Amino acid sequence: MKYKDYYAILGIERSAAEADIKKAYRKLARKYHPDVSKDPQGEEKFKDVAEAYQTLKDAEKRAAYDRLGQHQSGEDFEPSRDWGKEFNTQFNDGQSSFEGVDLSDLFASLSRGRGGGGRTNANFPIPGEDFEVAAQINLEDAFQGTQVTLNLSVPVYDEQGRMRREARTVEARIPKGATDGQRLRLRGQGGKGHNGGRDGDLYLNIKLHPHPLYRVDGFDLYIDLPLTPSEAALGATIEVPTLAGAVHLTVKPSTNSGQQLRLGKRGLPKPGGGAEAGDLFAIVKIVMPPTLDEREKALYTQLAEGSTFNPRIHFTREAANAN
Amino acid sequence: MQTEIHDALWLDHSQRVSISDLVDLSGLSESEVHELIDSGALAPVNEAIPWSFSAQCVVTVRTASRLRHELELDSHALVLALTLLEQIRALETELAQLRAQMPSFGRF
Repeated sequence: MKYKDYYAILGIERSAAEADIKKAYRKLARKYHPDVSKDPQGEEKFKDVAEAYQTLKDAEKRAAYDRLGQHQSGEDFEPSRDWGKEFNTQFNDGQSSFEGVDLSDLFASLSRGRGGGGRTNANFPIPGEDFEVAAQINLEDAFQGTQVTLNLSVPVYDEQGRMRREARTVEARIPKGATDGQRLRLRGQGGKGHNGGRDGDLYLNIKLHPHPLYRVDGFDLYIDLPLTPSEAALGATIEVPTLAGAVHLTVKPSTNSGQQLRLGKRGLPKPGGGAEAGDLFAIVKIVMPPTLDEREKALYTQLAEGSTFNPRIHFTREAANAN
Repeated sequence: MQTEIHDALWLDHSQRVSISDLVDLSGLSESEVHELIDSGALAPVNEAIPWSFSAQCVVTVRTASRLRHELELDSHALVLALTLLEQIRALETELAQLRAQMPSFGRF
């Protein structure tokens, strides 16, 4: 079992008073709590902080923790058999090893061992642990529906009610209709309940990988549509890629940069398995060639001399109004 | 090691849940869930009893439960935190929407 220095995690002295433990926890919890923190490591840090607090806030558990002695953080160690007997853990029979048990499970087993209101561990219902996992998928997978593989470390209980962690792989089918930030629930796929406690659930938080072509807004997609000046001026039929294959889009003559051309229901499918889907918007971007050859230069010069179009006419009008 | 394949259920407006689902899935008490309804942090989709809720409320009550127990918030602070988190979520959605609609100049 790896040793964790709960005092160092909370940034307090080993002699800290109960009030200081609470104060340190609250400060760090506000900083790292995954619901309020933008720190990418926040969740991991919060887990450590919460684990440290769960043990140190309880005088009995704190005493038991202190009796483990002081080790380096991350150092492998095993509590003595006497320690197990003294603190009446589920590992107090002198036979069980602490293999597969981590420090947080050990202290969680202390509170269960104590029970409450005379209940013993044998009949105390323990609900299974819920898991919240981010599922990173790409846009094509969201469009078609996909399957993700999740590796969990779930608590399991033996006949004596002793808890150990076990690796479990869950294959989750994500139906069509996923988009960024969507949540899914896999019922009963968290940790198993014990003594009649309900099985925990697995919650997925969908995160879409950025796509090189499309930008996502809910179920709508946006794509830049580069046009040459002549295509924008004269109109054209352009092949546009969509997630279901290329389609032809008619661009009207005199199309401007920034104009959005809507391709109905060519976005992401909505949940429910029906035909409902978001739209795909092609945003026109008129692109000049980096350099003009002599012939192009001559043609543009001819166009400039022959055209009376002034896109800045409002400058003169606004200036006149201001005077 | 055990491998299983499971279907996931959407937690969105297309699904409905009851008040007891919200209690069971959050670990909050029924009176705590009622407090969230009274404060407007949770809104049933129908006015008549028995209430039914959008499955998205499961996300709200689970967040509420974490904030209440892990940040030790009382009910007023909890409702305030949920309201501010919802405002942040709405602003982030709007920002993502504006970014999606903004042509990426300088890249084609």
